[in-house]
Amino acid sequence: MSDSLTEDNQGKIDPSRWVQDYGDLLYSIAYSRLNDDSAAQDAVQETFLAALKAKESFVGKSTERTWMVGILKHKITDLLRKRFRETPSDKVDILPVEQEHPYEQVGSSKGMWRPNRGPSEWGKDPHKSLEDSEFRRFLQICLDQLPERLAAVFTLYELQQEDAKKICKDLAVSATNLWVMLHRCRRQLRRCLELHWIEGEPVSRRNSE
Amino acid sequence: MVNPLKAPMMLMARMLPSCEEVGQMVSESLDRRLSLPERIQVKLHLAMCALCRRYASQLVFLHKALHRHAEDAEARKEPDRELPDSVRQHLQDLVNRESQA
Repeated sequence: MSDSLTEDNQGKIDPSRWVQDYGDLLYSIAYSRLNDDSAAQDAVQETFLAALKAKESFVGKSTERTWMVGILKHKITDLLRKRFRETPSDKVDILPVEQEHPYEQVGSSKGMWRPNRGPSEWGKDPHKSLEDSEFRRFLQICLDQLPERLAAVFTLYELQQEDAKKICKDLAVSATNLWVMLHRCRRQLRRCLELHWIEGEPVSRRNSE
Repeated sequence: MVNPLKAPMMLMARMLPSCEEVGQMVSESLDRRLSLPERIQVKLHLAMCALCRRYASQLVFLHKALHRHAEDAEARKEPDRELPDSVRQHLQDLVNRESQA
């Protein structure tokens, strides 16, 4: 094919294969971080367009795949920042775990675990669980149930692994505020995993909005 | 009768953080280096409180699991999701068109 002849001149870059080689990969990553079909598809499209524009600058320092995933991660970061800024802060209601009030609220033992409300013994080897597809499925379900604004911060930090200082600057939040938001998410995720993965409570999709 | 230990014990209790506060500090220990007084408070509390020890180890596990989850998604050979055919075709057309331009 004449197309592939011209591509040969540009080294390893072959855009005609991108959709086939990376489409599902990029879509899967984007979906797991954006929790939204059309946003994920848009991110994939923008990644391909940006890659086409930048393909002259690809000099094989990384593999084509790593390069492409890097571009996608930038797009995802932009989208999550935008989502955080555009979601009103009062949309973050009290989280389900907070409604359960696991801690004493008044009296001399205020702030201590209430009887039978503390974390349960999971009885699983965490390191083995990391290999477990069942665990990963529940982890994704629980991540998807976080409210949008908190999910944006949490995903930037824990999955995109953005620098905390940079997140504070980009989102205009204080470090203290960031740490509180991260802990709220961790609390909720921990409880969600405990309920569904450990105790087997059926998952309802009510929070998937 | 006045308990001579009451005052110092009240003072100690006030200095020691609650389970809820320790939970926050344990979480923050994943994000920043705690100050020396904070580290001491957390250590003392965890030494005495099995539930908080459990909570702490579950948060650490979760933190690691999330990093692993993200790295796996980026390295996966077989992606867990497939683009719908119509979107795939649209993207292919777009890339073909744009790479000619």
